[in-house]
Amino acid sequence: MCLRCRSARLLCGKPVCPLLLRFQGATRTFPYLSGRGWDGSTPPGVFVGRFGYPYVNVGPLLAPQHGDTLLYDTPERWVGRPLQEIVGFRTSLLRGTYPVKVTDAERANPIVEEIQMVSLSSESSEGEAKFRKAPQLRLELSDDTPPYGPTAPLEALHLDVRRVDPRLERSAGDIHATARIVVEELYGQKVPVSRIQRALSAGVLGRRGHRRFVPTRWSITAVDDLLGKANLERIRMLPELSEWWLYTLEALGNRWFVLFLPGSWRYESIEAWYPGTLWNPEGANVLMLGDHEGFRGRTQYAGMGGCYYAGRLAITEKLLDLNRQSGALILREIHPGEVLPLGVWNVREHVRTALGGHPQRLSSWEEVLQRISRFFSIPMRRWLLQSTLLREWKSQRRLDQYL
Amino acid sequence: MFKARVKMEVLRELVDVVSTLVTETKLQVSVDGIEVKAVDPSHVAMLVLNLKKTGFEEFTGDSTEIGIDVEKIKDVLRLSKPGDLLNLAYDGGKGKLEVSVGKIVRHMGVVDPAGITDPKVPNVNPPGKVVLKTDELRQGIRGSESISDHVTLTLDPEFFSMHSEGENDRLDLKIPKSELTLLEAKETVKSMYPLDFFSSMVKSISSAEEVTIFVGNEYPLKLEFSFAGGRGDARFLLAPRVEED
Repeated sequence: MCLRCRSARLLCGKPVCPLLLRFQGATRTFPYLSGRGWDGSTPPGVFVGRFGYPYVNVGPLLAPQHGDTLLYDTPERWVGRPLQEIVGFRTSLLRGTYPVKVTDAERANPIVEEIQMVSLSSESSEGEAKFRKAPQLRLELSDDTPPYGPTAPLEALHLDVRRVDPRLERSAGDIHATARIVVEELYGQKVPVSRIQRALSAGVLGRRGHRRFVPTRWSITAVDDLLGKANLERIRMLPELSEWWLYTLEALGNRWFVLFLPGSWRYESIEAWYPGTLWNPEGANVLMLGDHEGFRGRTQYAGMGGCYYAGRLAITEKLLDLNRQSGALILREIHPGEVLPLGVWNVREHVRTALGGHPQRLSSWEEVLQRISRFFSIPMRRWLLQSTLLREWKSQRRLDQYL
Repeated sequence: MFKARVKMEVLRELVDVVSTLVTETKLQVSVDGIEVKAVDPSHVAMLVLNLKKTGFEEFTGDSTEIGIDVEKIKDVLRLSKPGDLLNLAYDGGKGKLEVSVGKIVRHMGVVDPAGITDPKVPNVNPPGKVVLKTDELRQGIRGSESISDHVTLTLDPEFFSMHSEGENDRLDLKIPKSELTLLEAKETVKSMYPLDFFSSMVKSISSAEEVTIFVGNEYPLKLEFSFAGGRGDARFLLAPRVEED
């Protein structure tokens, strides 16, 4: 049950997720701010909460030091860094909060305007804030969004934004194009996905009268899903890959096995959580969870959540790059090294990194099975039982075979 | 050249049937009517469909290929209501297919037919044959969908059956020979098929009260039915799944 919920739905009926609660104690050692003021820099970072929707808290993420903190909220640059470092700088970020209704995105308000301006910026900004109460450590970890540190309600905010991303600024000024179109355009102009997600959640994109604040975790998956689908529109027209290509990667206690299968587009992603990992703390067995789609995609939200869409986006980018369509399978084994939920960037960026390497060309189905056995601790048989794509490959005949 | 007038219900069923497999297709027009051949991208399912000129209210045509975006035809169908007649016209020159209903005329861009693959249709002749009511089959499929992603069809000299099996559940539809319109099976034959295809195929059939299914052992399935009051006929082929070792 924990694996299905991942604190998002509180399926156990408890008011706070007990798994995440365990980290409350551990986080006491994180840098702690006292007093009711802050000065420092914002990476830039913006966070929009989801509790109480449509009444939510919006606010900037604030680093305790001055200077360039861009890295703190740019997941594209986190690959290759140790877990401690990522958790370290993330938990030093203070989240200012300001209550709004999501539809207030177009209403004049000095604090909202500061936050929205920061969401367009392309470099760190120095600033000051005043709080109504001293910052409190109220950890709200989620599987989709990266962690952050203490929280404080904003009374006043001033951020000195010097440089905005001209592409974002132009999009924010476009009051006729829908958010969907603008998001696709920005991506086409090579704006990093994390930056598009930030602008979307800050309510600065879309048609006038339709702009709203979007909870950060929803905006991340919305952008991953939207861009993946847009890429697939083109991929479905491309010639088919006729070989098995394998990419692997080990990082942050995760083993990634990304396989391209011959034929037309279809996709599956499977995660296996070892006992002692975040969402499988007490279990004696490995827990596996996956989702898949066929050539035409899926219409229901994937049960495994944002990871599915983050991985799919990375896959579609590679296929466009190869100018091919194919089947794609992500198998991920999570070993007890992963202690905190890090956010779906973990999937998107690591799959991107894996696909950046050289593919291993496999010659046969037997070799695929062999590689799965060799790469993972979980027996090949269990992967086969879990994977619809692999099962289909093995059992589904094609009409060409009867010509 | 192609110019025709057709009942909304006939065109709708044709489009529903075709769109179970593809989003773009080639209409092969001849003096006798039209033909569509389509294969799904994974080459698991195929369709061969014919509509005779008598299935249209009016029909003139000579040998032409028209590449069609099925979704666009659906858009026009949404503007029409049962009983309406639609006019189709294509002269090949302007590269536009003209579809009109009532006072509305839509000129739609066509797809280059050269870009649409011509499926090679395998000549499969499964030994068992059954004719049964579409409604009964549809009901069995609805029941199976919550259980598994595949179904097993069995033709026995005495009965037809369909069953699906999940981890904890199982569903059986069994119809004795006496309640079938026709059953021809010298011995028991059975095959397993992917349910998503089988289901959308059967659900796309709206006018035929009966369908004919041919089954063999671990062999492609053939599903035949007629539409447009018997003036159109269609044949689906579906590759089997084979049991794992």
